[in-house]
Amino acid sequence: MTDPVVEMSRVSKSYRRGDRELPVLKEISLRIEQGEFLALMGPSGSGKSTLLNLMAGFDRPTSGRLVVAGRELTRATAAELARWRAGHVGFVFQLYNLLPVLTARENVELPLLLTGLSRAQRRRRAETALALVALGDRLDHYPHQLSGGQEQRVAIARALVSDPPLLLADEPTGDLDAESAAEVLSLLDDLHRELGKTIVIVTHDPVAAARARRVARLEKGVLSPPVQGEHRDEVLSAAL
Amino acid sequence: MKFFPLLFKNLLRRRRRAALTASSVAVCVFILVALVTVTTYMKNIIRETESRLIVITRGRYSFLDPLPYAYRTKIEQVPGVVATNAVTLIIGTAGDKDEVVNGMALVPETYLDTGPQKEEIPPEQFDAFVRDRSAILVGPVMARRFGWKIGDTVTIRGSRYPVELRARLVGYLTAEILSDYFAIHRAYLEEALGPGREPGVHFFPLKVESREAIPRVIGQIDALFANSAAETKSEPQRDFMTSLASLARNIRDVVLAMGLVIVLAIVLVVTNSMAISVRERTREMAVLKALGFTDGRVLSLVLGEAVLLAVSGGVLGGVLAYAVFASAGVDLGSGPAGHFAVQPLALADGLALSLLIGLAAGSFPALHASRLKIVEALRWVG
Repeated sequence: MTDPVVEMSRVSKSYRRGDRELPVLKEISLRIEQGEFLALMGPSGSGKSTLLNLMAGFDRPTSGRLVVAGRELTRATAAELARWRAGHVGFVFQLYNLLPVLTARENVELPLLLTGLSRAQRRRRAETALALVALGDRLDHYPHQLSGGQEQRVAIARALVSDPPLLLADEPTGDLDAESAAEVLSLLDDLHRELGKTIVIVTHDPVAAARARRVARLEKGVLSPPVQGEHRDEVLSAAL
Repeated sequence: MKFFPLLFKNLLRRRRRAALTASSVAVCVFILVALVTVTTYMKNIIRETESRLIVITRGRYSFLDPLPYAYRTKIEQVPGVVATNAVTLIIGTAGDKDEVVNGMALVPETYLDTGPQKEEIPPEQFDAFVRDRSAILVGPVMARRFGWKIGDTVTIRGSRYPVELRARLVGYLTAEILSDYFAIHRAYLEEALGPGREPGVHFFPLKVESREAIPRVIGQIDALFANSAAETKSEPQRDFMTSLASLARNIRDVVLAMGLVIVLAIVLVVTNSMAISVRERTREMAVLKALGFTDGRVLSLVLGEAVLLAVSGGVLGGVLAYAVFASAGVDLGSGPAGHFAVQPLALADGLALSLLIGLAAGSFPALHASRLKIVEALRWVG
C-alpha cells in the first residue's frame, strides 16, 4: 500500500483576534490516498478553505500533525514551505488569480521559473499544459481576452504544469456560469480519471461535489468522516 | 534574467506612473551629472595651472576693483618678472538677439606667455591678431554660437563700457577656459572709449622666471603698492583659479545641498509609487507565494522593479545631461573644450545614484511584499 498524499492527525487551527483565541478547525484527522477525488463541503465559515490552505502549506496548524506528499508541514519554515509548494501542490483559486500583465502561456510558465528548466523547456511544458485544458489556441491571450471559464482552465493548467502530486481547488466553479462550471468540473474529472491526479475541492455546490468520489462535511470546524457511494449521495441530497 | 520579463511587464502596467517616476529620478541624476561635470572641469583647469609660472596681480579686496594700467610699468621692473599683461574684463552683447558675451581686452604681444592656459593658436592667426588693432580672437564655442568665421566683422556692444566694438575675426582662442570668450586689443578698447576714459585693469598676469622666484616677486609687487589708493594682491595662478573655483564651490555647495533635498524627495516619490504599486498587487504577491516564490524571491522581485525603474530614469537623466552639455555649445570628447564634456565618470556616478535611489525606495515596499501572509493577502480587495 502506498503512502497517503495527505495525512492529518488531530489538526487544529485557531486565529488570535486581540486577546481572543478563535478556533477554526478542531482536532481534524483525515487521510487522503493517492488518486483520490475528495470534496469538502460545509456552510460558510465552517473552516473548509482554512483546511485547504493548511494542505497547501499556505498556513501552519496550531496543533496536530500534518503530512502532505511525504513532508511534515507542521514545523516547516516559511522558506521550506515555499520551496515545497513549488513542487508538490497545485492550487486553483475561486477567482482564478491570473496575473493580468502576462499571457496565458506566461501565467502557466510562472511556477516553472522556480525550476532549472531552460526557456524552451518551460515554454514547451506550458504549451502542453494549456493543450491539456483545451486552450492550445489561446497561448498568447491575456486574461482580459478570455472568458471566466477559460481563465479558470488557464489557472488549472498553471496548477498542473509542475506535475504536483496534489491538486487543490477552492470553489473552482464559484465564479462561473453553469456552462463554464460544467466544463471546469469535467476537466477536473478527466484529470482524476485519466491522469490519476489526487484532487481535493472545496465547494458549496452539490453538483460540483458530485464529481468527487468521496465527500466530507465540515461544520463549525469539526469534520465528519468522508463518505462515498450511497452515503455520499445522501450528503449531496441533503445539501441540495 | 528569467524573471526580467515579469519585472518589465509589471513595471509597464501603469505606464504614466512609471514614466513620471522615472522622470523624477532623471531630474535628480541630471543635477548630479551636471555638478560632477562642472567640478571635474574646474579641477582639470586648476591642475593644469600648477605647472605654470604665472602670477596674478589684482586688486587687494577683489579682482573686480580695477587697478591703474600704469602699474604695469612698475611691475615689469620687478626682478624675476619676464612678461606682463593687463586684462580688462568686458561684458557685452552680440548677435541679433543681444546675447550676453564675455571677453577681455589685453596686450596681444605678451598674451601667449601670460594667458590663462597654454594657447595653440596657429601662428598666422596670432600674427594677424597682433598686427591689426581692431582684430578679435574668439573661442570656438562663441564662434559656433553666433556662426562667426575668420574674416567676418563682428560687433560687440559693451555694457560696462558703453561702446560698440566692431572687430575683424582673425582666429580662434584654443584655451579651454576661454572657449566662450573673446579677446581684443587693449589699445582698441582705449581708442573706442576716447580720451580721458582709460579702462581699469582687472588683473595683471605675469610670467616669472622660475618657481623659486614666485614668492619673492609676489612680496615685492604687493609691497610696491602697499598703502596706495589701489593696493594689490598677488598670488600664483593656481591660487587665483582656486579662489575663483571656491566661488563656484560655494555655489556648488548650495546646489549640492539642494540636490540632496531633491534626492530625498525623489526617494520618497519612488517609494510612494512602489508602495502603491505593491499595494495594488497584494493578491498577485500572494499568488506568487502560493506558487512557491519564497519571501526572499518576492523581495528581490519588488526591489528589482524599483531598481529597474530608477535606473531607467538614471539613464534618461544621463542622456539628457549629455545632450544638454552638447547643445549648450561645449565640445564633447577631445578638442579645445573637451574637459567640459560629460565625463564617463559623471555618468557612472549618475547611474550609481539612480541605483541607490532604486534600492532605498524599493526596500520598504519590497520588505512589505515579502512579509505578506498568503491567506490574508488573498483576501485583500483593492
